[in-house]
Amino acid sequence: MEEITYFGRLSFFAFLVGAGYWLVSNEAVGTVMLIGFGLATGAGFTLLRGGARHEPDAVGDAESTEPDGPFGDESGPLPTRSAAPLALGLGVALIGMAGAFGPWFVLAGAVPLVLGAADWLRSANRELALREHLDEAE
Amino acid sequence: MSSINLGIAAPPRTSLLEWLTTTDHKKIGVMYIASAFGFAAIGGLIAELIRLELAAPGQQFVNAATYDQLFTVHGTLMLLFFAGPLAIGFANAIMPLQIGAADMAFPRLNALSYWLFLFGGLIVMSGFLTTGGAAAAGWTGYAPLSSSTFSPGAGMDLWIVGVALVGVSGVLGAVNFMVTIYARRAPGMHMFRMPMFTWTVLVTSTLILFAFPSITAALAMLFIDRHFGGGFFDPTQGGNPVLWQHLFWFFGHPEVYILILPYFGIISEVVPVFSGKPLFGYRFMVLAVIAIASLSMGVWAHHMFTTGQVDLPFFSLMSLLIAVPTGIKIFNWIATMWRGSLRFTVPMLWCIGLLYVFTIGGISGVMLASPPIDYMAQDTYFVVAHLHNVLIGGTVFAGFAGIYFWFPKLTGRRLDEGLGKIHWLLWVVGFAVTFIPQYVLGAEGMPRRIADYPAGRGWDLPNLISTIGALILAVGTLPFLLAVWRAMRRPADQPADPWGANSLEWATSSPPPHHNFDRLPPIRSLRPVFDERMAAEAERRARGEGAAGPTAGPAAAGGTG
Repeated sequence: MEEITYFGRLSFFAFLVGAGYWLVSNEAVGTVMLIGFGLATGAGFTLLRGGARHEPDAVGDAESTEPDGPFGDESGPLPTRSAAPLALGLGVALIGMAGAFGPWFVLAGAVPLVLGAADWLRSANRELALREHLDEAE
Repeated sequence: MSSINLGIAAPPRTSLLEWLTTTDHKKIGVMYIASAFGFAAIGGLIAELIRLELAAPGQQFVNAATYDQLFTVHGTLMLLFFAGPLAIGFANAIMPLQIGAADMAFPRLNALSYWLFLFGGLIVMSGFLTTGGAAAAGWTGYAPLSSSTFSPGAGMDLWIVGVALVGVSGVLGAVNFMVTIYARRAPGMHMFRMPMFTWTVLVTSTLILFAFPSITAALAMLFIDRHFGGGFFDPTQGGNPVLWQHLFWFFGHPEVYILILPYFGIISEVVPVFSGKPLFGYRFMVLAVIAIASLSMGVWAHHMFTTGQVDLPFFSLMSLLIAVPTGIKIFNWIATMWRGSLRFTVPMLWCIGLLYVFTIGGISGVMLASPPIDYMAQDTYFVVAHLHNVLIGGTVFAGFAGIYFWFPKLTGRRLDEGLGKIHWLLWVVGFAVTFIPQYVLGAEGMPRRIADYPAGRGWDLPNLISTIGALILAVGTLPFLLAVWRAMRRPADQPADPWGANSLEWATSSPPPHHNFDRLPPIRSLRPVFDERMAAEAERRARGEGAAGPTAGPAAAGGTG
């Protein structure tokens, strides 16, 4: 379960350094950042431990048909080509430029953003339905 | 694997529309790499302009205000839009192949990450088109220089937006890499059978995930200060400009390792292949990468020694400690080469070049970790020389090693060895000629970020030599471009494994199909392709047949990891 302990060790290290830093410096900003790092990696550790579904002895088995590691196979169909990421990225970039040039860019960015998001959701739903169909067929 | 390929069968030539709408990790990887080199070309041209301006005392080409914009955009492009995205490009193109996955965990999100990065870079550069010009507060954007009082134009806002976009892109990419590595590894590929490059992608993604939010928060605060009267960094409103430095460097120093670690992974892939040996001390290498990443989160304030507001012994000690795992890596690469069957191909030459260039940079970094030396060298050309030594030595040299190494895998074509060696030689020489004089300039007290300097202070000759070196680097890039151009004019003819390599990406065709693998070899060690090659070799010998075919490469000595 190296995948999970990796986060646990990082969290332990961050709390250790954070505590040490506070003791030697009494400096608040750095302590908050280090403890925040520890809390975030600790949260990752807790969530991953809850999400593990495989026993450790299943790991490293070259004869298995499942992907290695404790999280199992959630892979679905490979998505087909899609303009949604480009449209969404363009929308976000244009909206961001409103920060420099004013709110009209929000309107310009909203169009590709909405179109891209809608296409993304449609495609995802289609693939989900296909996966469920395949699962039922199996 | 239950993945089903619904992708459209690839035509012989990929159309522009396909590139714009692709969700294939290999194509997205190539787009990252190409875009990163595009930004590097612009950043490199700016660097040449900077060096030409400094070649002699007096103002030659640009005024001081333009010069400030040039070094700001140069640093921003090279660090955030070249070195990082180039590594992400390699990670995209290679990592799923190395773990035997059909694609990234979230292919559409992967494409979105790319577009956010590209638009972010274009937005930063678009500052040059505004009336006030591009951002001019340095790539570090220090407050109060980046405040609306001292940087009133739209260029600074565009810089904030562009950097924020690449930050969001990085976090999305990091999540995608981590989930892919955690949930998509082929049967048998447990964590300690993962190639070193994949390990470095995982550790780098962790760093991105926990370090990037700091800069995103800082950028939001700066934007609020500039436009909504916030006072986060304004002492007259109870704020503190040093807070910016804390937030920036809590991202900025891990960022240095975010830039370096994947390239260490590339070196760890290339050196064993061309040494004909397994990687020396694989587990120690993994632990060293994790140690470097962990320590990197606790060293941010060594950039702030001279503020007088940080604990010098703590940050000095933490900074010096990083030299230990880094030294382990250098030692292990040399130990891998030791008594190996060395093949001095172009990728291997870049690795050897890295060993000398990066080590010089690393040693000067150890010097700067000592506060008394740092107080003397702060904001001088010594620091400029040091950071170029580690960043060019660490990222560009390893990046070129990776390009020459994986070019056959990604395109089915091999780059010309002769041109590659000329490219390498000109860069090794050009690098030394450019940056060693800058150490001298720093020791003689020349400050960084100045557009002009007085004659007669002993700075003239080192500056001239440094400029000549920069021109050698520019000329040295031409053989590489020629090699790429010539290779792409030829038909794809490379076998699955042209080098006699070890990891899974060499088990599939060059270039791989959309779904990556038609079959996977059994994974029972760190080197499944090597194992399969040896098994086939043993079978041939048992049948009394001759040596292996052209894809098998040299039989490597040693264990299988």
